Amino acid sequence: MEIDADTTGDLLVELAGRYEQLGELILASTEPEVTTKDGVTVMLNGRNIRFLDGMCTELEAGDTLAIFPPIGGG
Amino acid sequence: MRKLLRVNMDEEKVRFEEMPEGYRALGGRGLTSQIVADEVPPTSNPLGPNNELIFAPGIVTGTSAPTSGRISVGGKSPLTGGIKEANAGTSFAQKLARLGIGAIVVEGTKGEDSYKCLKITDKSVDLLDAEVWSGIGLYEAFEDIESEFGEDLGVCGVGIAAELSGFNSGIAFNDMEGKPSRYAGRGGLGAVMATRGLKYVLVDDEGAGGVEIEDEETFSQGKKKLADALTDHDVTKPGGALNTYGTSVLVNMINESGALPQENFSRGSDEESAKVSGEKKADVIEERDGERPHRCSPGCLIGCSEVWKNEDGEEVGVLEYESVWSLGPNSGIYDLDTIGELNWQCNDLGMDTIEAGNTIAVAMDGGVKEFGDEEGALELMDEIRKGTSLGRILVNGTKFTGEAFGVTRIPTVKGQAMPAYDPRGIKGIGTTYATTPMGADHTAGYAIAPEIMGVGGEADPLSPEKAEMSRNLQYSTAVIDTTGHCLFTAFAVLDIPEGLEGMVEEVNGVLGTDLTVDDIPDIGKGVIETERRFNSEAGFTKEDDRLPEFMREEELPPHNDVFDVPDEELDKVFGSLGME
Repeated sequence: MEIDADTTGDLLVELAGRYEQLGELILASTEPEVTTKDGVTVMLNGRNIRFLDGMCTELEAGDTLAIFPPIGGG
Repeated sequence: MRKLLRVNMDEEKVRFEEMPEGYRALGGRGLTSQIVADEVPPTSNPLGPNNELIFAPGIVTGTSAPTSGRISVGGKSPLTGGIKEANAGTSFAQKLARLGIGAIVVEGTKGEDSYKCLKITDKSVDLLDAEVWSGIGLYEAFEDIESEFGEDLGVCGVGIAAELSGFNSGIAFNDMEGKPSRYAGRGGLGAVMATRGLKYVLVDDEGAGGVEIEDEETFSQGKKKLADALTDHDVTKPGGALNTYGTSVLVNMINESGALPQENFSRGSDEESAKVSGEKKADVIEERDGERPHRCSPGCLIGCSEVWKNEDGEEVGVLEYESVWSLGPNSGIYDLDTIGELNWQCNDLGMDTIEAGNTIAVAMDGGVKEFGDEEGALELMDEIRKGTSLGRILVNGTKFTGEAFGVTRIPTVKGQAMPAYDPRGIKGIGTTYATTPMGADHTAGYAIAPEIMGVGGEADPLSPEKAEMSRNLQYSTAVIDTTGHCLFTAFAVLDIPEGLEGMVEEVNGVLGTDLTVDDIPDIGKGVIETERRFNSEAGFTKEDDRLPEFMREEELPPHNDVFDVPDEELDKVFGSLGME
């Protein structure tokens, strides 16, 4: 899926707008700031955005965003 | 009070002993490591007469504590040359505990006699001749034993790999269907068992008195708190990730993070690995009428396990994340049926899948087969089964095989192969691999939880400052391994304080002690100090707490990271603990 957005936060809001159920699964809030639910991990090009600029992390053409629900393993 | 069952294989005699006072507050790993430290000379030959094999259920194993069907097996490892504890989830553990047995200590050697089977009931303990179940695969052996003795037994066995004294032979236990799919796999303890002359242990708990509980009220209170935490936490709850997809749910996430080792740790991400993800596997299991969720033992609230069926409808057992990865992407293989068949071979021959898959991968890197050669990988299993010269190299694991074929990219620490997370992309797990007394072992201090999953805190996987995190995880893991709880309970108790309180209250209830969560670090530290002291006396130094050279120098695509945690940081994990 391809989406135009300037930041990761913008992208997630756009995604939630297109797919309401997905938005309910991954987002805790969109106003006043975009936050994800506990345990949801968002990676930009393989890096967790928490260790980049969070929801303000800027996007470039060709970037890949991956969203993971709470998972665990061994 | 639990008893200690001592089995002397030289004299073929068994006797019960009162559990020494210093052992009475221990179980699981805390107990196996203490007995090994007390009774096994650290410089002894692991396959020789002075090593011992210790079985110990956890402190709360055998009670109604949730997700606590675990048994620890300990000894000096033929693979690492150091102390080893390997751990399995199986009803065998619960049955042994209910018989009031806190530990089985197996000493002596096989000699010229045939292998033996130790049969334990409420009324008797006997050593039976096991010749008829020797030299055959474990799936057939477990079935024959069930036909002979009945189906409601705990069964433990070692396979052809152990009969070859393979450094990669593990110890198989029954799953809930009676198949040999639950493993105390790592470190070659199967060979220790076989060189004692012991092939099987059977446990029949009919008529057993159960586990003594000193304080029922405290125990029940603790059990409820832990159960609430497990059913509340997103990772462990019914319908959560583990319950729905099993541990292989990690394939996609670790691949995306660039740290899923492929083709013998030569890259960390690719397009193919999604074909063997947990999500894909769950679909196939459903199509083939396999089983998921599934439990390794009664009383588990998480249910991460499964029953994979092959194309012919035959049950293999669970295909864990580690097994799927090592027999799959790390060997260039991306077909679940081939992986399932390779996993069946490991279970049948009696081998740890992590070590076996790594062995296949280094053999491929060494030119024995090509990466991705599915038939070739199965042929290597056949070499082991036949005990050929090549098979005898392969059954000794990754380092032995890599060195035999001139491979320099050998992903081991203390001789044990690395699990399914490349340390160059996730530096905390690399810190654990380097410093745990067990050799490269992800379960010893599962840094993946905070570094990738955001469980138990959050840590940047690329930050090299991981000493404190790894130490804390290793201490708390040593305690969980001692209680008899499955390590996956940690996902819940790391995030939900009442869950951790509950675990401690369960232990207090069983033992009549007065511990708090604040005691956990010291208890864990004590276990690891014992282990490090053994290793030190066996000849290990801080230079053994290091990753292989190639990980510091070869950049891992696609992010091109190296393992740059300084030696000083690695040495900060435990300092001089146990090595004074």
